[in-house]
Amino acid sequence: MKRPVTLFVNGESYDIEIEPNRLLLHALREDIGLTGTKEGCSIGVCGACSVTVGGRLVSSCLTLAVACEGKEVLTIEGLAKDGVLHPLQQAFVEYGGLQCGICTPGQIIAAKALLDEKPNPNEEEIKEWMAGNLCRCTGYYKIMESILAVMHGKIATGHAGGKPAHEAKIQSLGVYKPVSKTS
Amino acid sequence: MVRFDYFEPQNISDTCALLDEHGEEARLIAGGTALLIMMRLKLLNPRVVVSLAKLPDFDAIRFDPKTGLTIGAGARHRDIELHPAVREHYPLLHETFRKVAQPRIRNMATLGGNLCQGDPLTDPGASLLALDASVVLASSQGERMLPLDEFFIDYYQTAAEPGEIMTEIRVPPPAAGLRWAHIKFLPRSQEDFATVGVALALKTTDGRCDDIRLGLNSVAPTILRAKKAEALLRGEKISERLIGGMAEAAAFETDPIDDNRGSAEYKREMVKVLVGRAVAQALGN
Amino acid sequence: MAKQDFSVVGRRVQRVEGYEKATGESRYIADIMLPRMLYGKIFRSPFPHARILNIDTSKAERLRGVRCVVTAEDTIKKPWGAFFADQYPLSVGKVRYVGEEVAAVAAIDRETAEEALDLIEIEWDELPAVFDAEEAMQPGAPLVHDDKERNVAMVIDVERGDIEKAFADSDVIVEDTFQSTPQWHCAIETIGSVADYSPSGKYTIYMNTQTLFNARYRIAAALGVRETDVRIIQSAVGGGFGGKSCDDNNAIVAAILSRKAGKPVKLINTREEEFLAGSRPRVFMKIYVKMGFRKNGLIRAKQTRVVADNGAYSAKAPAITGVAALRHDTCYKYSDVKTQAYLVYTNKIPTGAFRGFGNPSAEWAVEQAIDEASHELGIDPIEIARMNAAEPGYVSPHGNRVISCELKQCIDKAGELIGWKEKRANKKPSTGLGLACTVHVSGKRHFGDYDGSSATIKLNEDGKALILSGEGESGQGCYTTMCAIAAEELGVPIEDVEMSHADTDLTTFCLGAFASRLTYISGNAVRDAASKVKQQLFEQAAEMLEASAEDLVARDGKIFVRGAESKALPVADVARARLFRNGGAPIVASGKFDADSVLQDSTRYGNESGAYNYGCQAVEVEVDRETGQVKILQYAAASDCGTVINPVGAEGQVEGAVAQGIGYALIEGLRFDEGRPVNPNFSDYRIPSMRDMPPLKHAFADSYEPTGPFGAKGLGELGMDPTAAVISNAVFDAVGVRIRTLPITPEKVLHALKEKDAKK
Repeated sequence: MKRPVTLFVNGESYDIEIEPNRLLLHALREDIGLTGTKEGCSIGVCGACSVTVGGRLVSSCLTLAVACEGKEVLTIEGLAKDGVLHPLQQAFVEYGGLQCGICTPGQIIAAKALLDEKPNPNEEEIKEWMAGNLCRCTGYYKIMESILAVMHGKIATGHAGGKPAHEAKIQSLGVYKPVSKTS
Repeated sequence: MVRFDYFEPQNISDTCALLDEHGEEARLIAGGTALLIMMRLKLLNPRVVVSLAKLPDFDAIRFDPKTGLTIGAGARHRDIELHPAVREHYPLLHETFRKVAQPRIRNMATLGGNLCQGDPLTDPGASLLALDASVVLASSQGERMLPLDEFFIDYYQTAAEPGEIMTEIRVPPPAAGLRWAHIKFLPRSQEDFATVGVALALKTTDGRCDDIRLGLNSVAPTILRAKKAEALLRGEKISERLIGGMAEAAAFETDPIDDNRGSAEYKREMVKVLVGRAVAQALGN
Repeated sequence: MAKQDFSVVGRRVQRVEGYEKATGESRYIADIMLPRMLYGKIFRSPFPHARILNIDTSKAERLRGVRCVVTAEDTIKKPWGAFFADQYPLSVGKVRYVGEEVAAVAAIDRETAEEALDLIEIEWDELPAVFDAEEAMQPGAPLVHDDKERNVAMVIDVERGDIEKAFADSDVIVEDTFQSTPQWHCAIETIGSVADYSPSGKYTIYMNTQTLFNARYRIAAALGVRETDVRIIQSAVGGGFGGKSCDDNNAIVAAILSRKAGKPVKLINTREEEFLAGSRPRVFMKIYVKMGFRKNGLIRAKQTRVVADNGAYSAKAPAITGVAALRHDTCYKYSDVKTQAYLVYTNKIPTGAFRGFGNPSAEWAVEQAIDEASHELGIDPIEIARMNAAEPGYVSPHGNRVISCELKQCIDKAGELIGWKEKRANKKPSTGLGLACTVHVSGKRHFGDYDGSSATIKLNEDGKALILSGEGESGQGCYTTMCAIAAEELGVPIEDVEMSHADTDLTTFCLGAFASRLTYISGNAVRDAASKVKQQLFEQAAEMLEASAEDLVARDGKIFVRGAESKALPVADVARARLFRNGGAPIVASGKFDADSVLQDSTRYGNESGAYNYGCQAVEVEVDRETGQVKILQYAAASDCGTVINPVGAEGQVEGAVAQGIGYALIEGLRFDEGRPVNPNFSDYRIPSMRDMPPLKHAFADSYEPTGPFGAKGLGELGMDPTAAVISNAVFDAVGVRIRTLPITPEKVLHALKEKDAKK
């Protein structure tokens, strides 16, 4: 039977009527209309549905919405303020940390949870943490660069609206330069 | 996913009462990472779901040098991994929990849920076996304590009776000079269940093995203790030859299956290799 | 135009749609909700091969909340397909693989639709099935399609030169057989659609397809209506890689449900459905290779025999098999070649297009055979590659005409990045180096003898340009590349160019994203449109500046007489003046391009593409001799894609492709049990995670393709073509065993090591 549940999402409260079997993922997407949180694998592996509940990073596809009554939920829609991107969002745009973008909300929420818990992780720690967020487009190199760029204070926040990307100076995983002709 | 009634009892006795009332129709939910997958796949269709979220202190982790470590069944993997006493006194557990899935799942999944699922592919059980852990099961009839060694019965089957709920996991005080090793063999992807998991706890005096416990996962219908292998080493002077024989015995005790992570034959072969490596590592730890 | 003159091209620009994607605002197919929308679910065959004796949907129809149930009776029962029409929207008479669409339900919510599936009752007559392509070719094997003798869907048999003589001339001959593996796209977004049928007869379908107009053509054929009766609107696409090129039935079934229910229907594949019957996995092939070499390392002859598994129906496999058989002959200088290829039906999921098309399978075999020869000849593999590498002006035995080609540069650079010479000279035990080369096309002519594109650019009165194109964006960065090309041509900043979503009712015909074609083909069309818009601007500006149009220059959003930049007019002012006047008009122009390629003739001869892109990759691996585990220590990729339009995007393409290549080589694969993929989910079918990625160095060749937009060629697929062979060659170098079946699992390596030891 449906029951009333109050969810606090991105600082706003939502009173919804849901069945106990409603997953947090679907409550967010369909009852509240926040479709930034994505469904990729439905079994907690891919991380596309990552949100934080009470500050903890979780898979919303394996969380019952009723169990989140009264807890603070943060989704990708809660990061940009007044049209200004969160530094991680800005970094993913500038450094090519996103391509198709379907995994991006989960990647950014996961990266934020990491930096909130540990502001200066090393690359191994970043890899270990972000391994739970699958991406089929980027090969992860530019996701790593995006996170490092934020950590190293390379990101000037402002409106993203299409301005040219900075030269990616952080090249921890790759060497990028055109080769000169050899023959 | 099937529709169900949802309860959040405030104490263990109410929880047990709900289980008694609904019997087979009811399922307990803690972290949800196992149950909800089974439900979404329609492998389980409970009419009643009883949440353990509101049980007081159900996720508490306590350490006492005399009695050892007591982990509430509702404690999440990540909290166990990061707990100061676990880091300090049970490095094998810290290392094991660190390797479970990734932080997001460790944030959700509880140890009680993990053990009660009886999934042989998961890591914590093998290390807890190596540390001689016990579990506390409660029901409306009272409490009982069971060595973890007797808890895993078969594939997805445990010794928990209908109406019982796991409340605690107890690990004895750390033995002085305990040596250990944990190997999660992930040849396919670092983000996978173990092809073979090896957890080893070892006590030695002057190169002689005083005691040994060897837990293995992903290589049989249950997480298991390789007791015959242990027996070969216990009380003996450790030698290369003995380690080789012990590793071979351990492989013989397994009963793996062919799956996407490798053939049964390969997994058995890897038990041999990795148990040998684990002993070498433990002697260095 | 020399490279340094570019003001937008070659600069690191960010995604034009980046803001929407980083904030979760982008609307993907699952995010589209229409009023009165129903949820669809498909009843799929549980059997690999069975006759349908009877379908009873009455119980399902009576379930509260169900709006309609459809079966083949609701279709025109006409088969459809990209090359061979052999697939029905809903099974007619029999099913041919596990997962095939038999019936479908539309209901008020997902749960009700799922519940209704359990109420559909079907009587089956199970038939013997065949799962292996070679077995399927044997006499007496069960027939997947009654009219296809020995299950053979297609045969290629081509010889150029004199193969017998060429082998007789060879000093060293190598022969071997290699098996590739199915690989699923695993885009994080599954295939889905929202179909909205109007009683006027029009189907509006929101789809996450990467090929809108091809989708429209196929859906119209399957529904038995005209193309214009189907309007495809592209949602944001959460990864394509070939898997979303409309070779599956999802959108067609949604359309049939919507028509019958009279309401919009959303139909999204679950992850399991995506594995069973969604994106068409890479065609798996068994390839026999025989190659002849001169003592000095020059290739003299090449012969292959390919057996390709088509699965139960034909998607793109006919073209893919052709590529596997012939394309590689454009990589090196060949004179005498022979190939026989068989595409064979089996009772498994239809296979199809995945990044690389037939190349990764062919390279897996041929580049390993060449590596074997180099060891036999005692010549460094890098030297063999270099001496045989194609060069500008090379014409392949099948008529591929190479204009720009910097393969040698790529080989040298890959060797340099990996430290080939030093590491070879100081070889450590159990570590090894491997290398392989590849060639790819920039568009391939096959659909209706057309490999072109079109685009319209309208210049708004504020000076901002909007590109209308039906090519779409599937995540690869097409919008950004097209905006950069238009901005360069128009002389405006990239911020002043936008690209519309693709919509078959609003944009002109475009083939879509496949064959690494967009930068080259669509880029040329966009550049053509931009140049025509610029002409109109210049006409107006010439009047305003009292100058001749030929003397005008556009740069940074301003138009001026060459040498008189101080009197520049903002583009916006010119556009406004063009419109707001007596007899005025908005600035708009259409551009087009069709590649200078030809449709292959019946003997498969003909220049298949307008330009060819090249690459070489190298790797250093370490092998654990006790477990067989292969660890990549360092990876290097060098690519020739002509001018790099946007380095951020180009690097991203190579990085992503290499990741998929590593997955293909080492990680990915599902076991089949009687034609059914075992455990089709992300827990059992693993794709690489961040922790699995090795250090990667890459570089782009200094290259310019004269027929490309500002010198650019394709790139998207190149990066994963050689990867599996690169790694296998390195495993051989490390421990002396050759793995011939993908993926290179530790178990196979260990087994091979033991066999080798036993022989000693």
